[in-house]
Amino acid sequence: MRKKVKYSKRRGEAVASLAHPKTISKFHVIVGESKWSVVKEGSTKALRSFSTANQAIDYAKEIAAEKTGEVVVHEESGFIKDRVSFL
Amino acid sequence: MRFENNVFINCPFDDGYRPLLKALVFTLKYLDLVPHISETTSSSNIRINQIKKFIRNCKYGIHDISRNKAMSEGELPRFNMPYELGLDIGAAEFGRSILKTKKILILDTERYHYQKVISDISGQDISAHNNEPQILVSKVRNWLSSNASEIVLPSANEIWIAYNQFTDDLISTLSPTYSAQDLNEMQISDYIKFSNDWVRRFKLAK
Repeated sequence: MRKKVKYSKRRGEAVASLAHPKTISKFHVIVGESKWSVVKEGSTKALRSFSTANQAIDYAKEIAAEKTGEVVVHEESGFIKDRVSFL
Repeated sequence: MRFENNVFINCPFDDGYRPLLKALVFTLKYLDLVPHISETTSSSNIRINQIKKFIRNCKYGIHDISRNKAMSEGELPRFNMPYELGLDIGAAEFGRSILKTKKILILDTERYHYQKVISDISGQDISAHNNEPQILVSKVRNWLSSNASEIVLPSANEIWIAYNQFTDDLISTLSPTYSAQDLNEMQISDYIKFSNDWVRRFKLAK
């Protein structure tokens, strides 16, 4: 059954609380202008950029595995394409 | 509502446009602007009155005319967007003094499509987004930057990276309760509120 998503202060706070996590555990793979960047959560600067998505994903996996974290691969629209967890 | 910070968004509401609309409202929130958008659930009379109010109260108008053509066989083109664009340009041209400071951006999918269907708008600020949210973010940010030369705005790349993270945080938080379709169909007014809370927290931490 379909449910309508409604904003509430409690839900807004729950989403916002992830904007600045206490411990960094996610590494985002984000497409930029003609390159793929790996960005740790809470930051707007790329750790490294690559010419292909696969190179960026491999690098993100390496560091996520070290930190027992998660890789979030984004589509070109910004939505989530894939997640790889090392938790 | 503060005129200087208000942005009237006149755009399509179809499913294909939603990724662009979400990126657009997030960009405006990230740049400390207030998006105003008329919900389609209103009756036509209420809707047009709401739009007139937005036009009176918004310094910026962003109009996407990319659906000014049939999107599939048998579908009719939509003319609400060019109609509302005309009202906004008219307000800037003939309205009271503050309305003469209005800034209007026209978005389309392809660069020269508008010249074939509404050539009289040549001379306005027109940008093509190619149906790609990232390009739209960049075009809107750069247009706002050119109209607010005394303020240094965050880069389009910074906004795009933040938008991707917000998308993940929103889905991660709500997906245990809601399906992907429920999330996709969220009212844009609710989406703006979630964006607002998230951006405020994200910027505080920077």
